[in-house]
Amino acid sequence: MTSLHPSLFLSRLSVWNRGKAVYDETFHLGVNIIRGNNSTGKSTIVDFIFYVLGGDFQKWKPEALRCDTVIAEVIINGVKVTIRREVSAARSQKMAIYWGPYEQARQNITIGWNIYPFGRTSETESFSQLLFRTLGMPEVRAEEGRSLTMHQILRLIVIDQISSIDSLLREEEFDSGLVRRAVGDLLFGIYDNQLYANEVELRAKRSMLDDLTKQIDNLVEVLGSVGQTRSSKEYDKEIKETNERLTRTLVAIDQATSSAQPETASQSIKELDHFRQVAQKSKAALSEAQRQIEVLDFDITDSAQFINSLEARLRSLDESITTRTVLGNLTLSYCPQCLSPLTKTNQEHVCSLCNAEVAPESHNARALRMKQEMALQIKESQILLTAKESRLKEVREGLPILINKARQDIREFELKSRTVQSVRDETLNDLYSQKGSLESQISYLEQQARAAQVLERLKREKNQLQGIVGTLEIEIRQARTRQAEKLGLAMEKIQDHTFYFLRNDLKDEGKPLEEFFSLANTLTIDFSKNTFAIDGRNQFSASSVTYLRNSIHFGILLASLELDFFRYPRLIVCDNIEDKGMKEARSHQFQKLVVEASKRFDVEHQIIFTTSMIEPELNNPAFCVGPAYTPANKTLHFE
Amino acid sequence: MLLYHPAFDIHHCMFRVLTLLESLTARPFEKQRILILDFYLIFPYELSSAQFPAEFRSTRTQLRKLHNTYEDVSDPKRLFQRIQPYQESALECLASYNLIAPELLRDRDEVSRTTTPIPEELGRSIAEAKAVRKTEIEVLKLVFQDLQLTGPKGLKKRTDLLESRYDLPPSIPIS
Repeated sequence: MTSLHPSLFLSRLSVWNRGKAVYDETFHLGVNIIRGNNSTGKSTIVDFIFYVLGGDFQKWKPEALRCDTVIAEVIINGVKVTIRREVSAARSQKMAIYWGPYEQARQNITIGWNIYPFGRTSETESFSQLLFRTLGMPEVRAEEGRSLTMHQILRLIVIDQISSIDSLLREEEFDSGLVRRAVGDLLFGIYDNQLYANEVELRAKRSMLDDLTKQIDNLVEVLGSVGQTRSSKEYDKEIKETNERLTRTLVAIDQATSSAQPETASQSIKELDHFRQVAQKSKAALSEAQRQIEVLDFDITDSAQFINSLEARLRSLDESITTRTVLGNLTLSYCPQCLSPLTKTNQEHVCSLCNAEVAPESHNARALRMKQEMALQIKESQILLTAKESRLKEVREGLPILINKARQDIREFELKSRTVQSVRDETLNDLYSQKGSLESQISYLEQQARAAQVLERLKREKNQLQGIVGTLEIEIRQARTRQAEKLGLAMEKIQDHTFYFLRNDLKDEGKPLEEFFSLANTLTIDFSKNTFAIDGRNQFSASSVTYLRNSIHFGILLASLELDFFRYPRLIVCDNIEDKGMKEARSHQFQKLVVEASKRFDVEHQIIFTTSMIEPELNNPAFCVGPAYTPANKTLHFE
Repeated sequence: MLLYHPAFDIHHCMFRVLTLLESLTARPFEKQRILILDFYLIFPYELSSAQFPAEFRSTRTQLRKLHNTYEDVSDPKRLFQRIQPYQESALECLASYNLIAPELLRDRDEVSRTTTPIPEELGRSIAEAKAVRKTEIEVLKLVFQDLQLTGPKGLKKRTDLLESRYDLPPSIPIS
């Protein structure tokens, strides 16, 4: 008997209630049958098996919940290990593990046991991680943050009655196609850790490559549009040449400045200076004249206004005198104070109002004196004004001459300053301007060289990345091909074994119960969609679907005995090999086929199924575990 | 130079008032109107600071040429207050000579030219003055002579020389 790993077998199962075992049976390799009437607790035992191996289970039947502990001895890859779990309706129960056989474990209630939680924490592993490692199965990340657990793989291994009959895997609430696919990939031995890692890396590198390519394209466009297309090497060469020219120019400048002739220099400078001074003087004279014009202009306007004012005053004074004189000759008719009529008196030199003696024209004399003074002032101002006006005229007339002279002198000076410049000065100027242009050219070239360097570096990086991407693509392709090959092989085997069951289905008077089972040729399994079909069809009678489903599951088990790359642990637990409506004979036939297939293989495996219609030939201790259960004698014995 | 200014000369004021009365339409005028117009005869350029009615805005530009730095007034209102006593005396004097109606001046604060003739010499002087001050006299006659005295758009408000805030609204008769 050979063994393929990983393998997981149940050798003993006990269920406890308050220190007493209400169930305690041993199991063997090969076919194990739990038989009995309906509703005798067979399913409960299957539930316990699912649970103790690491499944997350809450749908306990009432009798089950009366129990407190489940203990199982399992053989993992040939090694005996004892597992214990508390029976509870709560989720995520932990598991206790003893690295040794059942008997030993029972003696050491506390020592030697390790407790592992359901889910991993930052400090501890989960029991799934532990069991996976013990089984030699890789850790598989199904999707973001979710690794596969014992529970997930048990969905394929332990077939229940509650899930709909056309589900491939045991159903559960928050399921995901990705997780199911991962289960399939893992158990069929297709999952390739390296492939997964490579795919992730390829995605990352491709994205980097895209960015880099974009950068390069942009840079090439920009550089191209400014006409820069040379390599950094070419630029370096040109910079070097330009630097040499610069050095030569600097040497020439040195020579030119040191070979100066002082004599000729000072003489021409003196001459030039004289012309400059003359021009300066003319300019000064011109601006002085202009300034004088401005001042005089203002003065004249101001004086004119002053005189006007004076003249107006004079006029007013005149008017006033006239009024006083004329009206003075009139007699007041009314009292100025109360405006009541006055009686007339006609005396001379006597105020007609108050009868005081009055000197004639005395106030007029004052007014006349004022008049005289004002007139004098006006005359003086006018003389001044005239003088200013003639002065202004003079300066204005002289202005054009001054303007001309200034212009001429400036022109002569400029002319002279140009010719004084010697040949030596000219060459020196040329050299300096050459130096300047060479320097700016060098800095320009250096900039271009830098840009070219950046471009070259980016291109190198891109090449590197492309190399990596290429290698990854090849590796991934190869891995995928291997995967596909494996998958093809796996499906082929599974198909073969499935059809073994289908073709040998019960015949009623020579005719198969389900005709399609004889006609179909291909089997498809879809983990993602959690379905299966033969020749694309999965709609049959309930019994036929159950039959088909079970055939497939047993097909998987048998395939695992043939293909060493399968990670399916060579164990199957099937609750109710038949559905309630199935013909007894059909179930018997299936049971016989199972036993026969099991005998065919010389590889260690374990089959556990329950039935309420045991094939009579198999109703013996070689195959059966526990008694034939009845309502009076159920699987769980409470006292 | 500042020995003499016609603003503080009663006789000159009498002269100006007579000139006004000889230039404007022959009708009684409110005393306050005469005081204001008289002020503008002394300082014609100040007229350009008054608020002209919209239709006469263009006439204001004619006054520009009258500007003289030596005649500039820094505070017209205050100056007006200072000459008022002289103006009052001048009017009373004219009334005494019966050149303007005394009862109208005394009882109704009105200035109205009587039929008393102006002596010839004075008349000639007045005619000369009218010619010299042609610009400002024309503006006064055209724009300000007939403007309503009181009210938000009245002469007093526009010239801003006399206190106008407590005037009775124009619709209410004075007596």
